[in-house]
Amino acid sequence: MGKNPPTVENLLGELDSTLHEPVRLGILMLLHLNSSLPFSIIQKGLGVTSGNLNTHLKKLEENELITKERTFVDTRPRTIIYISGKGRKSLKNYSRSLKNILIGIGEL
Amino acid sequence: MDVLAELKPHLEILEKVETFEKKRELNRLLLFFAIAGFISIIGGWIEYVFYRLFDISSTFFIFGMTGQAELAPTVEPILFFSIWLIYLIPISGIIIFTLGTPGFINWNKSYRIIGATAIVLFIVAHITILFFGTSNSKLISGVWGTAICVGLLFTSQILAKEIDNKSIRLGLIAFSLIVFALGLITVIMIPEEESMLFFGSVFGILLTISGMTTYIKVGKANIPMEEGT
Repeated sequence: MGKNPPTVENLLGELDSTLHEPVRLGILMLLHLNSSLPFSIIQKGLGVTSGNLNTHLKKLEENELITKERTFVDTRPRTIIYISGKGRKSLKNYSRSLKNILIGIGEL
Repeated sequence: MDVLAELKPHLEILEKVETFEKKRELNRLLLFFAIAGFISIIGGWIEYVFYRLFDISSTFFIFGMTGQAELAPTVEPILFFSIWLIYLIPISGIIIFTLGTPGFINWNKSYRIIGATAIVLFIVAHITILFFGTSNSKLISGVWGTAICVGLLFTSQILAKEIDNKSIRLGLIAFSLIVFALGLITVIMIPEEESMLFFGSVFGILLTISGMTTYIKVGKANIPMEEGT
């Protein structure tokens, strides 16, 4: 007996919950394209408040998907965010799952 | 379950990321324009100096094809190698500083294609000039005008998927026609000694001012404010 192919609902349920949040997905995608970015550029790119961004960055950092480096430029604090190898891999897997879902519902 | 409705915010954020990246690509392109304009002015100036001092184009000099014994590389080795340094150091620097992380020059596939095309056109222009020979030096600005025209037209097509700004692509097409016309005008109306100085300076100034103006009006708005955390 052949195995039934996974349904779209099953695929949705299997999505990485850490990445399956729009702002966190956006953060990782920006970092994937640039390797590292200052906090301010990520905030501008995604159009979110600094508090909101900080909350999501904390979650990503707890899951070791990003790292942060705090420096000072002319006495002003500057935070640089880096994507980790685990972050890149997670994003790749998420992208693959998302693509399968979109194919499944006929959007691709 | 409406899957698409659930995924809508995720797709929207990815579209936001795409739009933002395209704006950053625009700023990088404008920086390229300014640098290219500067190189054009310097190149025209070098040609003028060579004509004034040696009555020959630098292209013939760097390939040792001046036809004048006193300008052979073995007779003028310092001048010969210093001119090659001016050619090779900026190119090597750009390549080295873009290896590894993207930096501010993101050598993605499109820019690599444009870079490779620029190198090919650069070589073809030099070969064409050498082929025409010293007796046809007046045609040099026409050769460069044609090569740059082809390069800009090609770039406008390649950048169509990188830059979400129709004005920039139309600007590149307009520039391609301007530089072609400038090359022809220079061949017809400007004396040989001043031709490349005229061509390089006019084109360089136009390119630099366009890049700077576009950056002030459009690109600067894409720079974020200082972070508050």
